[in-house]
Amino acid sequence: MNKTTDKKLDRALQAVMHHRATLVPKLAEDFAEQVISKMNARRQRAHHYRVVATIVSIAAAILIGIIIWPMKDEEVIIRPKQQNAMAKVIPPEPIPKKKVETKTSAPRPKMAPKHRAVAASSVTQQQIQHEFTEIEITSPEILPEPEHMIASYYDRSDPFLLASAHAQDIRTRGEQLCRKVELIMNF
Amino acid sequence: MIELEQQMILAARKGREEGYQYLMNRYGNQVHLLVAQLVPDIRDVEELTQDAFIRAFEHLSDFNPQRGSFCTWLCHIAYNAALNHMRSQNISLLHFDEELYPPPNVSLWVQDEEEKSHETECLSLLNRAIEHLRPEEHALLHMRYYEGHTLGKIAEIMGVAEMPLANRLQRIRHKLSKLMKNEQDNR
Repeated sequence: MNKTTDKKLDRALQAVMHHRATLVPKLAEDFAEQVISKMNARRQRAHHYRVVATIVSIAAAILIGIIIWPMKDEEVIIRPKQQNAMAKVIPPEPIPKKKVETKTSAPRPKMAPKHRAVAASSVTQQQIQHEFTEIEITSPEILPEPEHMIASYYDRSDPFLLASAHAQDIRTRGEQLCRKVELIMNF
Repeated sequence: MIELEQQMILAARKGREEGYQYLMNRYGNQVHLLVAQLVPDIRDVEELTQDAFIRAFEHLSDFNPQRGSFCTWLCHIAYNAALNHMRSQNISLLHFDEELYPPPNVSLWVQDEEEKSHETECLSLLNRAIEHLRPEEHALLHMRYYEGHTLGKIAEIMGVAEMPLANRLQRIRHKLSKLMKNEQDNR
């Protein structure tokens, strides 16, 4: 398109768009009043909904109160959920010395050195037990995993309960460690 | 004038009717005409214009005068409302009745008989070619050639960047020229 055609098209477009605009029906004279009344109606409706919502919530609260009131003297036993069944603090069980010494479920102990070539059939159960006991004491025992700890049974939504359980866990670990140290020193 | 408008916007923010009245009297027709370019049914146009004003008044606190004029902001709201309505109704083309929208009378600005007939022919072709445009394209032409808005302002109203909008306008003009030529060849 050259400049002359461009200008011509511009002029023609202006003429047509002006003409079309004049043919659009005019806005109603009471347009402003209509808008204002519509807005007021909307506001009233919103206010009405707010009032109804407030009344409903108050009624619900009263209803709950009426239902609960006769039960106020009854003892309500709230059972913990299955996962929270261990919710009460368990005192640590004292581990007998003998049990620790002969414990075989500890992490896989180191095997005996290879240079001692001994036939498996010739090794007695007592010898195996003896070797296990020896290695057991020299290698540190892994402490219980977190899922076995008391804190893992607690409801995690209650931070205070959880914190007290953690404290209990730490104390148990400390006591276990103390016993271990004593055991090693006495050995 | 701008100060008065700002005062009225403040008044409208406070919920005073005089503020609403002023803004509606000032921009009512402009918004109405813009919506009419996008929506064919005049009852829907009126409804959408009212909704645009109500939405604007309800969200007047979001209006920031430093980001643009009130008119641009209001037109943007109206344009989006009309576009959403048009999409929900699945309107892809505006079918203007030529009886309702006849071509403009060129005798108002052309005196010469020969030139008059040529101009009439040209405007008639253009008037028909415009009917093949999509509503958004129609609105763009209206804002550019009737309202005389700058491309920057139109871009703000339509929510697009200025550069692509200029390209779009150029494409529309090409399309119109092509349609007019085809129509002329078919005759």
